[in-house]
Amino acid sequence: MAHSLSRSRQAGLDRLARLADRLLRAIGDARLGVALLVAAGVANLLAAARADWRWLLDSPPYLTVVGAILITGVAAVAVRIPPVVREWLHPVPLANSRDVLATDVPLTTQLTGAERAHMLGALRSAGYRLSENTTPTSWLVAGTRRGWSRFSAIASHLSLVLLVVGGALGTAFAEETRFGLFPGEQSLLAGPRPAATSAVRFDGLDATFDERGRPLRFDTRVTFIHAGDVVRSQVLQVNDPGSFDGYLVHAWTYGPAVELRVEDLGGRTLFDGWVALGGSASSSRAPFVELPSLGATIGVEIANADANLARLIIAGEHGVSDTTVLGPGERRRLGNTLASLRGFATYVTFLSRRDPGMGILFAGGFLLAGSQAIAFYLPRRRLDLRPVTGRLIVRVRGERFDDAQPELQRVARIVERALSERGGGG
Amino acid sequence: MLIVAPALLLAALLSLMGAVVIGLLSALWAELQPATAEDTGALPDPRANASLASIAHAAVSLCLALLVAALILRAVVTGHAPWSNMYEFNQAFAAAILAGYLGLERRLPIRSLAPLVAVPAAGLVAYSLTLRAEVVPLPPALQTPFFLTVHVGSAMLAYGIAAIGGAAAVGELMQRWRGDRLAWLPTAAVCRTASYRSVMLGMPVLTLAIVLGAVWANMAWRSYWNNDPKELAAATTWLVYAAYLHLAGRRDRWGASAPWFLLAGFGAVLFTYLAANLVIPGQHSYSGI
Ligand code: HEM
Repeated sequence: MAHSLSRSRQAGLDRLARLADRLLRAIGDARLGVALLVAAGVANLLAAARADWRWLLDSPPYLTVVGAILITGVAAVAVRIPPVVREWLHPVPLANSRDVLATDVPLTTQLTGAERAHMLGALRSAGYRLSENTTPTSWLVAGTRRGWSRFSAIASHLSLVLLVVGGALGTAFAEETRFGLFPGEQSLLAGPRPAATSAVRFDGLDATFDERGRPLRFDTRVTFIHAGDVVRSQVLQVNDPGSFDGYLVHAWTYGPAVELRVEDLGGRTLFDGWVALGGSASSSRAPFVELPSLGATIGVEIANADANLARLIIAGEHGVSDTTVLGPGERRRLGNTLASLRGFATYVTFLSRRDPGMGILFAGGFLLAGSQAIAFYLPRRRLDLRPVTGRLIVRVRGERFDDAQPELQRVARIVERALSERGGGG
Repeated sequence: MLIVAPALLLAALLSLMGAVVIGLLSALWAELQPATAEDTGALPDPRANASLASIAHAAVSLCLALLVAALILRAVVTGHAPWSNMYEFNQAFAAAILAGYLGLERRLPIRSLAPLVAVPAAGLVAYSLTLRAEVVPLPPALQTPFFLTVHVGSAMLAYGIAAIGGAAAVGELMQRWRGDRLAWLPTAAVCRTASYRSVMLGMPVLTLAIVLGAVWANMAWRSYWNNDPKELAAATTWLVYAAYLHLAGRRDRWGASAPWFLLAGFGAVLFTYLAANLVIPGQHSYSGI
């Protein structure tokens, strides 16, 4: 009774396993993969062609397609892993097909055990993993070279997991902070929070232009600081950000600035510092100085770039009340204030970014490229050898569209040489 | 440099045009042969086609040598890899097409594809001749020799190989249409093998180009993916070839559609190369035009 119960349970489990296998094969059907890849391709093409279609790539249907590519791709390899491992460990004779190439090596005598062993040794040294099938009446050898190459096709699909997981982690958890700094100023790399103690100080910008005013280099000198201690100084460039405490720190935009001092008519300092001029949209600095005690705002702009002149405009509740133009070192009255321009400088908008998925994503990308290269450039080779009267049939098979003829000749040469060394060959 | 570079390019263009003309002659010759054969009962002479194909092949080899000379000269003058703007890209792309063809031709009987391969290469060299050859300093974002050399270089190589896939796909479609009777082209089966091999060769290189581009973008543009038109177009190209890889080995209707995927793939390459550089504004606007 118990025996038949366990047998029926076993049968149930077998049925379940067969069902799961069939399901995985259906999901992992390459035609489904093709349809999904084409759908993703069309979405990317539309988004590439029209900026106003880029929303497609964030839409639920597209994300579903990406998820489906991942699931079907993994299912496709999941069902293939067991046979790939089996074939790698225990090579099997080649099934007849038009892709199988064959040649004969003449035999003068029946192969002795020693000759067989010597020949197999030579094939093993040539990279073949072999399995022998010996019965009292027959002897058959099957072999695989670079059997591990099949794992790389599997790795190609599994790398999709890394790409998607890395991308998703980045979308969910990446953080980015922007801040504009004048020379000598510093800022925390992350937004204000109790544990954030990593900072960067902007030490200066060396910009080089060619004779037509085209930028050649932007060298941004910075110092990284941790918990108040200087850790190191570095020069950041446009495509060479600084890496510090898990953050990538980019010098993002560059702009001119003036160093300004504003006093009231009694000589009391109202403002003493840097003002960014005309900063870009991403700059966190505006070209204004607020003077709350006077209920006024001073706007600054470049009046004449060649002559290094800045225009200052003061406005209050009733609109613009006065303007003046200043050169470096000059001091003039502006409305109810005295403004002095100490000099010009540059400010830089920095961007610090941390993306916890980035490493995983790049690992996936390199795995994808590398595994494809292995699958395609170092394909698996399979062979079988079978003696019949007076000759040894050598058969070789390459991968799809592969030219295995050179490999067939190589194997035949190895076998011939091994046999002639032992005197078995013809 | 002033005279040598245009002279090399002009010579390269002439040799490519020679290959194309020979291809046309070869096709014409082969088309006329069956009629004669029917009249006289003689078989068409395959040697005539073979020698025409060999001349086209030699013209293509000569053109590659000229282009390589022009590229080396350019690299020496500019001090960086010769693919930093459209003038240089065009020549490198054409050289990659020819190198890809010559590489595959050593293993496969595809000599008669030389004129088909010469068509896009000639277009690129001609286009290059219309552009300004002036040497300008690299913009700051391109001043990373490693990435400029490897990311752009691998993209050029992959694009060149994609062109071979496209040419072989045209060959396969024409042979299928004419029941494998076009003596001036390789058989449909050889074309199919050549196109699959070209994708096998090119796909890992294309993947590497995209991955390295992402690493570079992460450094230069703060994020590895910016939905820039060129990135999206490259992703499209890659997806088309990924789909092709899953079709090509099938012997059913899905497999029969494989050459169309190769044409779509090469179309996507041209879209990535031309439209995303010249027409659609984006961060990759380094064409120098
Ligand atoms: C998106 C990225 C994908 C890449 C890069 C990729 C890559 C590959 C590679 C390199 C091979 C080996 C080809 C060979 O050895 O000749 C392969 C085979 C295969 N892939 Fe994918 N694949 C992807 C997606 C998918 C998806 C979504 C499926 C879903 C069904 C799938 C199913 C298969 C199957 C069934 C095979 C083996 C049979 C065949 O080649 O047709 N793949 N894939």
